Amino acid sequence: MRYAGRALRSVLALPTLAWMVLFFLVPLGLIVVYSFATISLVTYDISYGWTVSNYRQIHDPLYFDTLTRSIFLSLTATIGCLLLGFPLAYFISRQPARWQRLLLVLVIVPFWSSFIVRTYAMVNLIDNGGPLEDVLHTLHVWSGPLNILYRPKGIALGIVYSYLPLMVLPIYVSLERIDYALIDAAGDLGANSRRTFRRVTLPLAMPGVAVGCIIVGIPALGEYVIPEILGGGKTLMLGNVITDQFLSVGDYPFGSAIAVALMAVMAAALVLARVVQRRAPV
Amino acid sequence: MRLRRHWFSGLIALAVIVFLWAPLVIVAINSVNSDTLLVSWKGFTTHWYSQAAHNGTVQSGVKQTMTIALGSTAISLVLAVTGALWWRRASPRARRTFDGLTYLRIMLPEVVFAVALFLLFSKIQFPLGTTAVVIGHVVWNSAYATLIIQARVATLDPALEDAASDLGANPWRVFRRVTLPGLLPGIVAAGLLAFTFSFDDVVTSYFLTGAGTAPLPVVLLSMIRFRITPEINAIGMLVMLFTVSMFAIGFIAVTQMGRGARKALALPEVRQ
Amino acid sequence: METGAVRLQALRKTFGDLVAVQSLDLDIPEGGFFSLIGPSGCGKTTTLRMVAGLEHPDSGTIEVGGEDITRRPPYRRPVNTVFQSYALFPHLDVADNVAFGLIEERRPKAEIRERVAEMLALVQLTGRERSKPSQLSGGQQQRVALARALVKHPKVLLLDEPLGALDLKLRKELQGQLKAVQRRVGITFMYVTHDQEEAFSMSDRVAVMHEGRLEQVGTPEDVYRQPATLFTADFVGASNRTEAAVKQALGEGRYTLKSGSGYDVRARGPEGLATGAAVTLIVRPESLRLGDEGWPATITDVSYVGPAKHLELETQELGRLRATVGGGEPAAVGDRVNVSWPAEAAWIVGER
Repeated sequence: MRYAGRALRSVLALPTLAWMVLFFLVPLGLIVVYSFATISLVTYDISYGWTVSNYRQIHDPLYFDTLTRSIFLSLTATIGCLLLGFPLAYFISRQPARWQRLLLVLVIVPFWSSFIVRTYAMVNLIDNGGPLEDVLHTLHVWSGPLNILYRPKGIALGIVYSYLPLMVLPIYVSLERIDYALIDAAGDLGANSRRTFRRVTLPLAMPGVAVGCIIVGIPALGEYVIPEILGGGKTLMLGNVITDQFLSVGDYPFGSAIAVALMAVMAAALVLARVVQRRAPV
Repeated sequence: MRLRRHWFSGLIALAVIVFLWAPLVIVAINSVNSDTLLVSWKGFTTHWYSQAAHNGTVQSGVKQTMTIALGSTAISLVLAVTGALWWRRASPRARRTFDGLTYLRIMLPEVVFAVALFLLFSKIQFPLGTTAVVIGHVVWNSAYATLIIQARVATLDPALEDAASDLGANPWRVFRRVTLPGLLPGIVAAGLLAFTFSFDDVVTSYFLTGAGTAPLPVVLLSMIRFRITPEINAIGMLVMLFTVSMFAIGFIAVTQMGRGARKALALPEVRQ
Repeated sequence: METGAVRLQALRKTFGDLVAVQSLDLDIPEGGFFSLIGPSGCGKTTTLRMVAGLEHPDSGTIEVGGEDITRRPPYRRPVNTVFQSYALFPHLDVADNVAFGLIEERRPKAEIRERVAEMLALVQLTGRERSKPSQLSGGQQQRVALARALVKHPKVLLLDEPLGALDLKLRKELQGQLKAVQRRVGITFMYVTHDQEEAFSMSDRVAVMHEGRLEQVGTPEDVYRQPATLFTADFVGASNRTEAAVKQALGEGRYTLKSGSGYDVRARGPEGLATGAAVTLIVRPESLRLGDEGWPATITDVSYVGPAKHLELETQELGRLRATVGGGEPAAVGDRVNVSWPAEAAWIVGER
């Protein structure tokens, strides 16, 4: 490969470059252009311009609520994943190697099953009269109908369910590197272990936590399938609104504006994550 | 298993694992449940499986999904191999741009990809359908394939290619006889992963199928949306088994890759 | 020029700010065992790789057998390389590894089989054709690498520190084998190493490199006994040294010097040194004799290594000296002895 000359080697970059320019960058640019255009919903004629009317329309409570709800649900789901995922990752990292592998497989295999089937399975699970309600009733944690299916709560749960392994794995990877033998040897059981956890284990797990939050929180913002199936046909998240605008209403400019808004929120979240990462002591 | 010391996290771990598996178990049970309304257990039956197998939409859905998955995997692999080999000798700045492009494609919600391509195709009046879906899949699928193959390329010993060249092989022959065999585990792993991602995909396929034959996940989506028939559970089980086994093989390939890489780099023993 | 001779002219190579090889001129005669030696970073490996075609020189030419191959890619050069890490193809067995280059030449299968068998016999690996490289020991892998390169009958064989990863005993054994193979096959071997002893034991001629420049070229004996520069003198062995000035040139490379401490010394050196020239005088430790005559000295340290004893001596006139004597020589710390050396053993390095 070295002796092929620089020109020949650059040819190797062409397939990916060409494909991404044509089918990724140009279309993204197209979205931005469309977001500033207007469309007549009678004739479906598009007039390109530089109006911000689409962006203003986002401030309409109907759509703005969806925006805030998406952010809120993504945040909630991320926190939920963290609350459930961290203890799980910690528990796994503390087991002997053989058990670690088994537990990891148990966590990953559901993730490998078909995404849409998994989400559909949630419908069964959280429906009124379904197994989750039964369990909660038996444990006397809840009484009466569950009422989370086809509601935002159900969607949040659905996102947690689908994305949980994505939170568990990076945290596990961070924790797995810790030499617990040293920590155990240094202190004894009891009050000391809680302090070592707080001052040693937790900070070392932070990089994994950060990665987990990013790969859960950001794609969750743009989820479509989960709110579609668990939301009962209502356009509860940005992904659903966008799809609706494009495939049902036909208002491409407005749909594009929402897509741009989604990307903006994503970018803001990434920047925030970067800032937090830099501030946190490594 | 150390349970006593970590009983708190162990409890949560147990609850979470049950939580992860419960829905799948329910689907499995319901796929053989005679009760049409799925309210209670009414006896074992394979009726739903035979109904699913004979469902025309499902059959064409599977065929269509296979076609799309094979196409998008093949193209994604070509992009991944060429990209990763270029990256090896590229300048730091070029590498950063390439990596940024790769990570952007992994992070961006699929809905944005789908919508963007939908706009492009409608603008240039490119017909929606199988080709459009394949094009769409490749855009994000190639990113995952690229990451895997880049990792594999990093384990290649440049001295091997020097040796091949020294022994008379021109660059193409070096690639075919030395580089490609070295990359093979990575290609297998990336290929299986890409195939499964494509097979399982909903959003891009939904947008870019248009009026053509719907791939299986889109078929499932309509079935779920418009009626609850227990048939879905049977199809779901079959699809799950398929994707799990594909992923499993890919996973084994990736872990074997680690072992193979260590062997390939095995430095000569110092002591006899 | 004979077919296997190598000529490097004004060869230069830089990596960014680092000048790896500075305008090297070197002639390597056909059919011998030639070593390029020097410390790490002196440019010897870079030079070898330029001959192989794995690095492009910034300027200069490389000729093999009279042909200018400077612009040719490695796969079109009549040279082959044995790499430091052996670089055996892990997915091919031994026979396929050795046959690799012949397949590129599109030789008929029967010929390939024959030549591979012949070469494996030469390196004593007959019977291991189906083994994979990972199943072989380091020494065996090295021999496969050798066979793979030699089977193509190159005009020159390049070897880049091929014995570096092996333990001492194996190294010595393979050194002998390499030398025997070279004699047998008769082609030019160009060998790179930082191990002076290794190079000396195998080579007909050596070249010493330092910071991208050639310090000296000659037979091992020439280089050892008549080093042209202080660097060379130190690189190939230990020495006792002192500053001196040429008092009188006696002709034919013989001189009388006045040492720094004021004593007259006889020595040999390169011809043409002027009277009064400031030079350094060296005497190798093994040339020093303990006996009845000579400079009085006291032994201050003894290191017994088996076949020899390394002594440190303190003298009034000459300062501290190092001597190497036979292991059986009676010498202990505190002994008073007389130190002397034959006039031929004193050598002038013609610079300060």
